[in-house]
Amino acid sequence: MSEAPTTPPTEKNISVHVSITWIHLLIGLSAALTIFTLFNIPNKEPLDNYTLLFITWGASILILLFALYWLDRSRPTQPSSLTRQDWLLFGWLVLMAFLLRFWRISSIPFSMSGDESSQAMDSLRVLQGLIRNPFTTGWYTVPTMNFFFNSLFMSVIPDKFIGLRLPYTLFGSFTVGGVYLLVRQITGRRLATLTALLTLTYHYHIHYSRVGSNQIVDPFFMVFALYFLYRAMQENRLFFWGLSGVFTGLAMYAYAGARLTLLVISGILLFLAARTLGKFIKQHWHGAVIFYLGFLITGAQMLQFGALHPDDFNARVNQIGIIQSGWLAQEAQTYQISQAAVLWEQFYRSFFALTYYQDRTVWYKPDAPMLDPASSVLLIFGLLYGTITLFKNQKFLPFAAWWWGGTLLGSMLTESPPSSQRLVTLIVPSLFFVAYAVDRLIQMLRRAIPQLGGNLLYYIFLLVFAFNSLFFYFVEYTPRRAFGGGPAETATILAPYINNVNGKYPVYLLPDPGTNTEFPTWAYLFEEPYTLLKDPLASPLQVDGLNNSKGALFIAFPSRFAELEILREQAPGGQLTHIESQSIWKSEIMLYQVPPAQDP
Amino acid sequence: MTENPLPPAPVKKGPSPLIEFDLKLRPMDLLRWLLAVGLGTWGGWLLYQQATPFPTEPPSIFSLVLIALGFAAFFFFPETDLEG
Repeated sequence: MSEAPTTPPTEKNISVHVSITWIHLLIGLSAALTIFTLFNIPNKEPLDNYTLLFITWGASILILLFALYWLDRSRPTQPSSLTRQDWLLFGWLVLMAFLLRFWRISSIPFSMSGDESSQAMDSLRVLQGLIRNPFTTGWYTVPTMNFFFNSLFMSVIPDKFIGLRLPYTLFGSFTVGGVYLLVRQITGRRLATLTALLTLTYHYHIHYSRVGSNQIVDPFFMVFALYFLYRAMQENRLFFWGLSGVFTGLAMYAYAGARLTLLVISGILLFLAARTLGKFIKQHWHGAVIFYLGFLITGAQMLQFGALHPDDFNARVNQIGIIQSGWLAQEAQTYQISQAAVLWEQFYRSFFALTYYQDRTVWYKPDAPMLDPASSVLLIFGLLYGTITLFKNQKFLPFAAWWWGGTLLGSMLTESPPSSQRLVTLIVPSLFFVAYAVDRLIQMLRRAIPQLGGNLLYYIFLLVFAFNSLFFYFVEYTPRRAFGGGPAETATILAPYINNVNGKYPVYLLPDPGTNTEFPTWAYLFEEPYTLLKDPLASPLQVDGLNNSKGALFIAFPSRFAELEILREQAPGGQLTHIESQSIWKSEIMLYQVPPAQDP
Repeated sequence: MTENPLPPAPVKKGPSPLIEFDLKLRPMDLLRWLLAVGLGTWGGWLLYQQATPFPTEPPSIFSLVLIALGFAAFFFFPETDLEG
């Protein structure tokens, strides 16, 4: 009996097709450049030259975006839904926003605040070569990239107010245009126009676009990162996935609040993946990978800094976070209540931050809720509607995620809610919900009374909102000079008197006993040297200004006014000027200028 | 002899209306709209009264109930168009 011939087991053929094009090589080059910066930044000293690393960082981003742009040309994509009319409206909105935010920017708001000045001083240090590393943190753990950006404007604009505030005016203006693009991309033209026009004229947004501080950057990055994200999903374009990642990465170089961008977008992707049971991931996993690649190529340097210096990177968050700082436990112990009760109070203070409670700081201090009564109720209606119907209508998702993320992380879990500077990011989603509620109410009315047509009701609402908001900011709020507080107002008033001396004669300051003589606005605005006379003057005075022939300028704070009388007796003939502001701070100072001695 | 019939009375026209329109209403929809706007406005106004010049207490339950009722009328309405 012969054995049946055994057939050899068939081998599975594995075919691996690898196709690497120059586009993939470019993406690899971009990643390699990022790794190069990551290896080199920690080895550098603060005063080393970072130019090469900065250029490498910028080049890695541009190369990635260039490669993605070319990659899209060989992939099936959808055309953009935006028309020429949309871009014209975008341009008009940016222009109008700029005019409203730039007009009289050096005097509205009047005071140069201490926080503005501190950031300005770090920007000046960049120009002086004292800060050279753009991948670290500076004043109050603000990323130094802010100061590099500011220094570009301050190096060419001599006016200290305009040079410092203009970059933030631009951020605010482009945010208004970006709001239109984002809402247009997700919903339609009517709601987009409505939301953008509300943002254009909203006093809270106008104020922070006029202040030389980086809070207004938070909504800028969020708006554009979300806009590119939704455009990427709708048009199936990797370039926009990458651009969204780049904007999210750039947000790491802004104020700590801008880090919310990454959390919100990650939350949106997770929600969509869970909601569609993985269908979203199957369809868009390439895009999601590109998003995080873009984010890492742009923001890895700050993430590395955070990993190497977590205490520096998170200092501000740890300082104001109620859990990290121990405030929550301490508060519960002080008032003998549970931590849940403290958290509940924090929650409703944050939930009603724009509609009921008032700003606790001198960052804005409007002495009224941020929204008028009608808009407050509209916000609550729109927000609740958008949140409840989230699973049914995902068009609300980015705005709901943004609003709740900002409210819970930026307000409820921080000390002293509501603090307006931490809620700037909420402006856009809040106004979206106001716009949505108005839109729905008008559509409801049209359904009830079908003859009601046209857009008259929209125009009426917009006109009332805009007039109310602009009147409040420019006519009621501005003369109060609330921004910055009393010391900032005093310093701003004093600066021209001190700077006009031009070295012709010495300047003496007689401050009140409790005056903070290290106040940052003094360092930023006072260009001329001055001498502090902290101790009460005794007669006979031994002050150079009285004894030489050059003359002198004495500036007294209220509790030292009487000492100017002693000076007048000793050196009569000078000019006494009393300055009293009409603001809420009632700042008061007195100047005594001793003229130079006349030749006989 | 037959009497001559009276000439037909001329049709008299009243003064032409200055304003004339046929109003078609959906009463239930209008009621819900009025509830949403009315209760919302009332609640919002109370909220604002408490908030100025400075809020010393949390928002009153009454104002929140009014807003919640207004929201209910706002919510239970056929879906509106988001597209614009």
